[in-house]
Amino acid sequence: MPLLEITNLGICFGGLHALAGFNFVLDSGELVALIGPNGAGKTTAFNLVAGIYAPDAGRIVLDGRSLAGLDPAAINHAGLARTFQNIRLFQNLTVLDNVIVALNNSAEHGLLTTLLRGPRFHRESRKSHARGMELLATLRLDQYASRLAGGLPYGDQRRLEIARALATSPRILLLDEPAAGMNPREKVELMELIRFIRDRFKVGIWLIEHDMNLVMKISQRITVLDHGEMLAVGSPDEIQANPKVIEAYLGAPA
Amino acid sequence: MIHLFTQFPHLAEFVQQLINGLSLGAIYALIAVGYTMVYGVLRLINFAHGDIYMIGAMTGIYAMTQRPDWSGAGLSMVILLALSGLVLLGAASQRWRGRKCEYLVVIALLLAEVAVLGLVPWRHGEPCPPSWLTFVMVLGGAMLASGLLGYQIEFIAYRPLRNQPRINALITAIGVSMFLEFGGQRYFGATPQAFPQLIPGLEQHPDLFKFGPLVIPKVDTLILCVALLMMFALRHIVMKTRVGMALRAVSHRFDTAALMGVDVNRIVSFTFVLGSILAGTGGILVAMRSPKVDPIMGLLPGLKAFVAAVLGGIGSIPGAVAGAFLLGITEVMVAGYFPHGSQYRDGVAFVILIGVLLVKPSGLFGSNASEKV
Amino acid sequence: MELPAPIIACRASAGVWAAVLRSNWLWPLLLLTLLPLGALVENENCVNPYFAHIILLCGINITLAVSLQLINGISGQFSLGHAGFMAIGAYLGGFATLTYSVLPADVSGDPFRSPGGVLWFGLALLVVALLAAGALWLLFILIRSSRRIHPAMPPIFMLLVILWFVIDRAIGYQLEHPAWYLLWTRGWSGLPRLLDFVIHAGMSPAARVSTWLPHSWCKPLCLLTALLIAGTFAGLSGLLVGLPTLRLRGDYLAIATLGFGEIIRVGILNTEPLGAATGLSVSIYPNAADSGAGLSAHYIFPWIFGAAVAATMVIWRLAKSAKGRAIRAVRDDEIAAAAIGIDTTHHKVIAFVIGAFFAGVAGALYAHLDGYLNTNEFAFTRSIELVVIVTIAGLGNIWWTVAVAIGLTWLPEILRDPTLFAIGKNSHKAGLFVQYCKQLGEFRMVIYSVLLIAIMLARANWPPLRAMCQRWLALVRNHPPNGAC
Repeated sequence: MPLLEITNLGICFGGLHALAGFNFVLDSGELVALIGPNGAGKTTAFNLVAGIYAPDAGRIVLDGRSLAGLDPAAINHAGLARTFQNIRLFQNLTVLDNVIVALNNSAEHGLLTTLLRGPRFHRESRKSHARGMELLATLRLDQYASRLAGGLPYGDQRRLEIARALATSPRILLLDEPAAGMNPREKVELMELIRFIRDRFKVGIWLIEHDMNLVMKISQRITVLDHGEMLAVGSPDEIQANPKVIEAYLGAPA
Repeated sequence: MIHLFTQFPHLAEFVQQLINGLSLGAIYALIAVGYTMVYGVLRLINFAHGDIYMIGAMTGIYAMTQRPDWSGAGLSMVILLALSGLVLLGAASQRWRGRKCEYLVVIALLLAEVAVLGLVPWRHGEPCPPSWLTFVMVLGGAMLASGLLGYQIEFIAYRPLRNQPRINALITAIGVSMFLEFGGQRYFGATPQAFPQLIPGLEQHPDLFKFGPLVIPKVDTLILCVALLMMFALRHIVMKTRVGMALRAVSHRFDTAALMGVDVNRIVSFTFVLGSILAGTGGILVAMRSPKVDPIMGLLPGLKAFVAAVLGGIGSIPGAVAGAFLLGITEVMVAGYFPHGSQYRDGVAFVILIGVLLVKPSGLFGSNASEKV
Repeated sequence: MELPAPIIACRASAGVWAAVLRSNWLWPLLLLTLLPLGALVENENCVNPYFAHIILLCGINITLAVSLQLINGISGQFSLGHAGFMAIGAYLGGFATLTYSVLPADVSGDPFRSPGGVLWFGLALLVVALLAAGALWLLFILIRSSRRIHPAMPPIFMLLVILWFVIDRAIGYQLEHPAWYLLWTRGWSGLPRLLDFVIHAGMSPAARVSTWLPHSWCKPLCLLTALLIAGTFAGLSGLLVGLPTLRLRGDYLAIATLGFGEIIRVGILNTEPLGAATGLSVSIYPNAADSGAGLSAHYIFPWIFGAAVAATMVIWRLAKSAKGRAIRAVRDDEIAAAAIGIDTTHHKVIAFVIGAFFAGVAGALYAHLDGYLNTNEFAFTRSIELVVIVTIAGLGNIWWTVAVAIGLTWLPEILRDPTLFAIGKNSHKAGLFVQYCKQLGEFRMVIYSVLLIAIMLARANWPPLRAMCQRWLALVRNHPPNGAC
């Protein structure tokens, strides 16, 4: 029984089928990529799974639970975390706070505990602080712990966003163009990081990416989208040889 | 027709309220269009817009009844005027050398205004006799004054905050509005003043048509005509001229328009001036209708015109006009037909506002510009 | 050698208890400072009543400003309707004390005798309000579920309901006794009657309970109950404002809150029992010479001080906690916050509710201090004054808010009449300065607005301004003294 199973997902934006007939499976520990030309509907698929849009057709099942009609926070509690194409960090919070706030501890504190500051409050604070620093150390961001998130260099901001998503203890991680704007050295480091995350945190990773090098090297399976429809699914070698994919990217021979 | 209205007095009352509502709506439209244009271009709610409308009305009073007493002016006024002239010359020389000079022009304007308005005693003089020529000239004067004021406000208070989060500009707008209101109370006096007659023979023959119990006053028709004329002029400017096209471009994408060679500062100033001119006209028209004018008359109509703009879809000019007429008619109907209606009159606009914001925040004609995730 | 587990646990928990002590040590200190300050205000020869009044106003403004800081600064929802919450608190608290703290059997009509009565009024009002809200909620659910018939049904249905309301009220207004089918009119007049019925039903037992209490407890209990009622209803109205405006951002939210504030004000203006246009006189001592006066300064001072301290402490602790972090995260980026599992609705609404609660408490204190309420006090202008305080202090800074609130309460008073503050009593030159200050005082609101604009502009252009200043300073310093190279 796969961890994430999507059948026949589709959505219409005022007559335009942004996504139609989308099928997908993901298991724990797998690293799968979603590629396609610009405007193919990749981020739309992510937004549908993460609960930002409501699908017009299809089912999304995570670990046996249907994610239909849930809002993004509930989907996150069910075990799915995502990053964003345009980095969305909490600019006015410190790096450590960005991670701690994702540890879902605010829901555990009632209003009274917060106001009375008893021993339980302090115990919880220390625990979250320790866990946050641990996570930052794992992703080599601990030297920035008390800096404001907006002041980090670009590559570190992306890593912080991934750290924040990991702090929610997800089973599935959705990465939306994590290598955008990076130079080749940073991309290699990112590749190592993604593999490391999959092995260390035991999550299934679903990746949207444009850099074919990166995609071919780390993914076990690739799904290709074009104009909202699935073109092909398969291993990297199969996709590279698929004529329909080549036509979508390079155009048909004259 | 007269027969129809005498037979059905309720119908006559309904049509009378409708006409009242249309006339009120026309005034709201003049103010609302200014709000919506500024929002479309800068994404800023210009809280001070209602006070520009007040300045228009005040200018009308000053033009009609006050005369400057040059003999009472002191040396300081002459010095300030001379200084203003020098700064203007400096601006001209900078321009000749191709450098920026706008701030010098604004400083010169400010000095001249302080000199003429502050240091010259204005005394109650001979009121001008009402005539069509007087009407046109007073209207022109109000348009000039409000346009100038709008330009200065934009330059001093809003342009430096262009790159800041919009909340800061909103707070500054509130500050400007407070400045105009309280400053107006100190300068013009807080007591309401009577607006003199502009149109000849209005007191003797106030009505244009009389259909039995239905009465169509001249003032209302004049207001509607002037407002519609200005709407058509505005539509021509926005749709059919190059400046209008640049305006529309800037309201869609600020930075892209700048990249395409549009002088964004000039267009924003132009938008403010255009909106302010319309608001000033509205001030004169409303003063003709209800002749008591006081410095805080702009607060409530400004808010209501803003509600009208939101109702029609903020950023859309036809929407603002439609929303304004709808609001005017609704307000008059509530005041006329509801129990204790006249007390709830001011609340109508806010109830409509809450309703629109809850049901369809983009308004009647607005588009749902949602955030890209 | 590793320490045995129980000792490690002991050390850890000792650390926790140390932290608890550290975060709570300030309390006894604050309570100790209360006593001498209270004596200061209490002793008439020490502080004259004018100053005492200003100090009390400072306390009220601190409570208001800090509660607004929670809504505007920490939770990032720009609210321009704070005066509406204050008005609800003021009118409800004042009305409760005025009408229901009097024992029914008491001929002299002295207030502050029946805390049970005040409590009962609060409960009755709550029950009736919940009933009405429940009925409206059912209607709303009905309208929403009509979506199943056809997607376009809800707006049409809502329009029909509004039309039904309008026609019903128009007909009902003209009839002496509205017919049974005029539901809205009957409901509109039926609710106050239901409230009266419930209140009368429970008033005598409540009054009897109050007579069992020791006499010295009655007044403080009455005041406390009135404050809590005021705060609760203001908090409920905060819920009413916060829930529908969840989808709105920035300027739209500002205008919506402005609208709510005005609607509340117009609503109170048209409610007969609350004095309508002539104002509510919360005459605490109806048989005294100045029946319009509120409570004496020395009595109300600890309450105002307590409210200010409570507000500041609660909001400070909220801001520095995990919940506060979540609220700030929602402020910074709502979509990202939702994506990491934060319940954005809960966190946004709780800021409104707590902020509104303290605004209501401040309003009730204001009513009891001043003794006379007029809806003009709670107009848009007051909201703006509070926004000015919060803006000058900076969004998110709680202690600066306290300081600016105190400063901006004193500033207009100093400007109004500097001689009161022993400035310029002695020399002639100082006399001119005083004259100048007095003239300036008349321009006080104009100065406020210019100050606001100047601060916003300076903040926006601070880096270039600072760079410019540094360049000029450098030029001045580096200028060689005799023009030598």
